[in-house]
Amino acid sequence: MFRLFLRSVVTLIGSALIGSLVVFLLLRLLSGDVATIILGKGATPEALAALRDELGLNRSWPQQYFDWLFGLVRGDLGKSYAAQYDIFHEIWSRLGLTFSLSVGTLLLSAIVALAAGIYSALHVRDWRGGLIDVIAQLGLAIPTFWAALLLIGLVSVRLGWLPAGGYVPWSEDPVGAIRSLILPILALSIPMISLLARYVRSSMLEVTNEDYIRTAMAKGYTRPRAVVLHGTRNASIQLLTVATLQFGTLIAGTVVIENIFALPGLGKMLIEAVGNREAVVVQSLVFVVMLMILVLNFIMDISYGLLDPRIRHSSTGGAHG
Amino acid sequence: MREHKPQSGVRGLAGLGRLALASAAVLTLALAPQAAFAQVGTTNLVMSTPQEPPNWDYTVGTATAINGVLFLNVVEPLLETQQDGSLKPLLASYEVTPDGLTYTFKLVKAKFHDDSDFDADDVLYSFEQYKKSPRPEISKTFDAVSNIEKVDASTVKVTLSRPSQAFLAGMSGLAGMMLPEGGLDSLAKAPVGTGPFSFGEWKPGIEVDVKRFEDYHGDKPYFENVRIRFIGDEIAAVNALMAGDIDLINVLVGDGKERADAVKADPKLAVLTTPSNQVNYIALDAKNPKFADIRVRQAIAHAINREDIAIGAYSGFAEPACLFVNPANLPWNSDYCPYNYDPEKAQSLLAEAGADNLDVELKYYNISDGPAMSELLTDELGAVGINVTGASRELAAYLDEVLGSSPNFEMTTLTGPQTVDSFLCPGWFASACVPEFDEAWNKADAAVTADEATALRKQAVNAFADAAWVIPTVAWMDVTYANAKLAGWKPYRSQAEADLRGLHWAE
Repeated sequence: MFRLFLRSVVTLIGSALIGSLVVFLLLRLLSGDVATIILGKGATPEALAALRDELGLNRSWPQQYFDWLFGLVRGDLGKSYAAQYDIFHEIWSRLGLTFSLSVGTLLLSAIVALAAGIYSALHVRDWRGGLIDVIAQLGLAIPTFWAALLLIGLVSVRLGWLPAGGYVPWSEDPVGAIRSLILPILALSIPMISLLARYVRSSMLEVTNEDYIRTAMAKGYTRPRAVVLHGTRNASIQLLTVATLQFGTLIAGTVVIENIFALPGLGKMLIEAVGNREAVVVQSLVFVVMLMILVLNFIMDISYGLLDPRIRHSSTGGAHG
Repeated sequence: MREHKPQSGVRGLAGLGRLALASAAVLTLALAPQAAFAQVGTTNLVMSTPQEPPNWDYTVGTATAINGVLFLNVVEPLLETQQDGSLKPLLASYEVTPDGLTYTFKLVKAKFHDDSDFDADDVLYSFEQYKKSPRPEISKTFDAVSNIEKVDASTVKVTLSRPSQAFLAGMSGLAGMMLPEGGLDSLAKAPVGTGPFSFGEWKPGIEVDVKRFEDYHGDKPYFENVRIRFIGDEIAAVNALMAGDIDLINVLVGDGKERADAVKADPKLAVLTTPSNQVNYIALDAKNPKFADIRVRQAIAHAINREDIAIGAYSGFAEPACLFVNPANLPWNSDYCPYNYDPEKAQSLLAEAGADNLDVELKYYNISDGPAMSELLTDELGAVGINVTGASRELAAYLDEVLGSSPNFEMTTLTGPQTVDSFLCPGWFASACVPEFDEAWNKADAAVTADEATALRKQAVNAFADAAWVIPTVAWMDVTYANAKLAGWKPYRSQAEADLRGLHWAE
């Protein structure tokens, strides 16, 4: 068992490193470097050469990579070239926002999707189930940024209920933090709910036809109660899988929402760093994000054992075999 | 059948319902109507700007976004340019000998934000750093300077080897900005100056705060705290303005200008325009044989419809410009337009030159006005038989390929604060040398009187326009959206600054 755990950890770190190497190479294949960005449109060739020298951009690629790697091992993610800010500090201060967004979206989406999916499955044969299905399709079709702009236009500009953007950190003002997160979470949840609800619905429908439902009804449950009682647990496993995959997307894939709501999150940091050719920022940030996603998947693998007794018992049997 | 107690599944659903109810309660609390437009009447101002510079070191970086925060607000030049072009003392008054060779600056009593006094040593330090700056527009200011002398703690004497209009102009620009001794080291992250606002906390990618400097040597500004948020998405910025989250958007450069009508229609908001120092121009690669024949270049110039460009790419916030004069209110500007819009002339010139079916690649950056200009130029040039292929580039790639050490492009269009002397031989990235232009311009710098200089510069820019290697299209108007109650926005710009000094809430 321990060997399995060790192997998983090694694979995890190995994957993150290989990913970082790919990012390292890709970034250097792009034309332009951070010196041209810092100096801007009026840069003279001498100025560029001097700045490149100063920033260490003239080191060989292997040297740059290993310098960065050794820094990582010491816990030093490096500094940005232009503004000289500490990358670890910057990532840490943005994590609060990104986590709040992702976790908030997933929680809201999971709860609503469970309710909608169960309802839709229970009423699959009449118009109520069909209506949920149609709404889910619409939800998937709506682009997130469009939903975001509509929400801002209605709720912020016209009604003045919520701010149109910007982020108030939790440490500064918890109510302000909630207010600044409501609209972005809503915008992100619309497609997420639609996606998750369909999975829930199909899992529940599967459960409806199982033998143990008939057994439960024989014991005195009504069909809806039986389906909900037994089906929810099974649907949750599917939900967990999809949610974990979506979490990865949410960590760094919310760039558009972060732009529209002027939220200082990891997605914005990443895309700005790529545009500014801040190689070290991109490498370190991608490495951290990859680690987070891989760790998350690892944790989810373990939690399957908790949710699904079959997995728990089969693995125990295997280890003894 | 016996009635069963609520089963765990249904209990689960009920639990879910209670959770939902609780969340709704929390949300309702959070949704208590906010005070929109909360800054009005206070001494706090929140503004946004779409562009953030990589850092604040203007001696090295050429981002105009630096000026928007620093110039006149945090760091001050010795002299200040007025709307009519005259110079007013700011940190020093000056006298110049009739032969134009000796300038004496008498310094004003002032303090830096780090509490040190402003004196002649700081002037000498600043000048020394600027002489070494890799930016020609800063270092060339001192080309004619032969000696800088500290006469006493509040007097500096500068001796020139020949008269130089560039030197005097530089004293009201970047080369005249006064830094404390040793100030260059912290310039990139935490600039220190004598200005009415001190540089506060900078959160890269998010915002920067400036605070009123209580020991300022002049009239203290109205606002105590100004927060400058970097909102790159202009539509998001306009939404924030309409919702009252911010009070001013300093200079829209992209699609935010298209919302001008909506902003004008809102009684709580106002659209402010000022002449800017940004010029959009087309540059042709002088190393390319396609453009060697002047008739081809003239044809390209004749094909440009500047009125269309002003409307199509800038929502009307631009003035047609045939001459490279930046800003447009400089005295050597005129109505002289060697190649006005004349598609038939363009076609006949191309036929004469035997270039009926010219293929040209147009490289442009994919932000700001790049895409719109590319579309318009492709159209206008296509109408006279020049086949344009657009090559869109990310900014970093564009800077490398067009403005880098080995320019690689055929035709390009860009907007910038460049002044025409950037194109003195060897012609910067266009590699275009125009002898008449160089001659007249250099003579102008050595002129003794301003009038002489103006006449010579007129000659120079006209010659430059005649050569048609670099074809200006329009001079931008700077467009600012603001809360209608905000007063005191300056009606002109001297250096792409966002002058916060005069701003206040109208009664």
